[in-house]
Amino acid sequence: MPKQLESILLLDDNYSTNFIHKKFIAYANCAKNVVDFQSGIDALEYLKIPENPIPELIFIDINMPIMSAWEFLENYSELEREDKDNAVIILLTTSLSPKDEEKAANIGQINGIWLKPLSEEKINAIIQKYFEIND
Amino acid sequence: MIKNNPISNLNLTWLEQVPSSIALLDTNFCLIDASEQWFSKFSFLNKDVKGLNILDIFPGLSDNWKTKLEYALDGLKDIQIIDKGVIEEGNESSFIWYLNPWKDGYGNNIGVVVSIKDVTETKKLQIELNHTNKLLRQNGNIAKIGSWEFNVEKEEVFLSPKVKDIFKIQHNSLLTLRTAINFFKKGSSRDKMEISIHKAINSGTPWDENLEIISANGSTIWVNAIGRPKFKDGKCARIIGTIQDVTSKFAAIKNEKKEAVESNFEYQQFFKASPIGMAVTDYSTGKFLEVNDEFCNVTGYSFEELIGKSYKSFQLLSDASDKSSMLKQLSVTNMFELTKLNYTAKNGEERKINLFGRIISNSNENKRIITTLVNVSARNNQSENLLKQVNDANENVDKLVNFTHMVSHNLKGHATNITLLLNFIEKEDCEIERKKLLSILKDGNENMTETIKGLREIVSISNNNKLKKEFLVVNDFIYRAEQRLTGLVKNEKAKIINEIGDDFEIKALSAYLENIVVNCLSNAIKFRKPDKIPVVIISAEKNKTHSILSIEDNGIGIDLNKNGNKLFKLYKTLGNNGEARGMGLYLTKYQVDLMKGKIEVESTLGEGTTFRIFFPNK
Repeated sequence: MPKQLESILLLDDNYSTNFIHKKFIAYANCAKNVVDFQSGIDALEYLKIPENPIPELIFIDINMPIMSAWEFLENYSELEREDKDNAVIILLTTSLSPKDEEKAANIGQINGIWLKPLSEEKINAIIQKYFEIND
Repeated sequence: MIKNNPISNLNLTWLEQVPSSIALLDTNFCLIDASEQWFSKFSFLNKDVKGLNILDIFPGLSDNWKTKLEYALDGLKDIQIIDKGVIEEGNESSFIWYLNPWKDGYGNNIGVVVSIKDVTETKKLQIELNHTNKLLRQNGNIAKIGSWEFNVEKEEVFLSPKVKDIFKIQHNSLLTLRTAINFFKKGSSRDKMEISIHKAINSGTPWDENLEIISANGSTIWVNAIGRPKFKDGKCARIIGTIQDVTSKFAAIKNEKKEAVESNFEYQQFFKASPIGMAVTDYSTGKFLEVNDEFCNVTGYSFEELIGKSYKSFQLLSDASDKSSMLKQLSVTNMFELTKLNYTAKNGEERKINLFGRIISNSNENKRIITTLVNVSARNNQSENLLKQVNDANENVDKLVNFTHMVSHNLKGHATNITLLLNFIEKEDCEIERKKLLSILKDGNENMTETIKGLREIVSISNNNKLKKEFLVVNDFIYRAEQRLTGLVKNEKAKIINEIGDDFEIKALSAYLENIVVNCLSNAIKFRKPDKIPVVIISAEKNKTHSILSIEDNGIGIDLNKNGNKLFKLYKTLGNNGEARGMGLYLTKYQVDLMKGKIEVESTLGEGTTFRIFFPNK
């Protein structure tokens, strides 16, 4: 039985994608709580509220209108939350471009880039890689 | 426009008449035409070598000719080659071949001018020159100078035997002042002599004149007559002077003059017909002494307007730094070169010109500058056009990259989602959950259809950009858009405030204007703030060049600092959720671009957005 996280945040402008990912997370049974947003602005609004916990794992779609993953991360780093750096941040994309990879490599907050869509296996692998390695 | 065959447009009839051996080659070094002298020199009496390559006409030319011809074509001047050419069956002769670039009126190199000089002729000239030098020296040695004296008081004339030799009279002859003066040819020579003597006696002025005398045997002789008055007690007592026979020298001078006149004539022909603007100006005053037709063409002023006036009156070198650069160059090298100057012609047209000048001076005369003027505007326009085309092409490539990127990203996303959702549905036993999955699937499918519709629209715009713009009443389009968006407006309880007058017209393509209005309006409503009723204010204004349509909303806004330049890019803006502000914006921008307009965005994150669309009035 893999480790169960307190909370996961999903950020993708496509409602179906969020829905599908939620389903896989449920199958993997790896989180007690999953929140999902279709825009970075909404996600930030949620994270600004001190009562809402900083998720242990955040999945962000790279290409989103209005606010891309990069801009979301900039805003995220300006959040006045002490525990914000504890979150594992994974970027998601349908196709991996070297440009995005390079960009991500230069941003310390990002733990990795994974291909969309997630699957039960991918989620388990992610949990194992980022959360169970020291256990 | 690029001229296909600039050479065919040139009138080459003058070439025949040119009194030297000149041939014109096109850019492939084929003979276009040549002067009569040139043809006869090589015994091409029926001129059937026209059109042939020079290297085929003279197969014996050395190997480096082609390179040198190419240099000339590149603009290198005065390339000299000593090489042999067949002058008639089996007979060769050496020539000095001069290669020069041949330029059209725009300064473009359109071929090569080949002129030849016989090596022997050059040698002949050398010998002639030596001969002349020798003659001059001899003349000096045996200079026929005689002295004379006139005693004013006694009115006595004394002439040395040399003078009497020049006058061709006996050594024992006695002349009075009058009879002596009468040897001077009637007219200006005698008048000058009389005046000179008068002035010498009355005001003490010496003279030095070249005058004609008629000798006793009737021959005309040019003499250099010099006289100096000598004063005693405040009065002119006598005049002493010399007479020198300068006939031979004068004959040479006269010949020179004649030649100068003749070559001047040739030069004037060339000057007048030159496809390059040319002017001769006086160095000290800057006044135009001579201008040719092309010079008038480029400046826009007529011959009569230009002649006698300084170049400063015609805005030439109106920039002080250009002028000082010219003067500096002239003082150092006697030449100047100024390129890509801005010049406003008489009719107000802006031109780019190149000026090349060189001081020409005859020893005694005032310094003059001969200047060539080339209008390079056409060349510049051409390169600007080219640059624009390259930029447009790059833009199109950018758009295509955007396009394919978007296709791969979004359709892939939609497709995998649908597959996954179908998988879930397949496995799902719970009816409620299945229904939920189906409705999500339906939404996803709608989004994908929307995306494909957008793509189709973009493709059809790309294929359809040759339509004509017309004046359109904007309000018609706004009402139509409001109708199309009725569902959205009702759902969101949006308020649309239209401040545009019913007579306000915009010049646009009807299909595009409709799309633009619909896209902007629906975006303004869709991107509303959840806690605020969406309010959209539409207004319009007109300035000299553009009609400006403004659409202002109180929605969520856009962070322009971060998104500004990416706002209208397809990949960036197209969302998977089908709300597709991106697609709409991309389309709007694309259509506005096609109508040569522009879009400005003003926005504050969380407070609202204003799109301003500029439609050119023309």
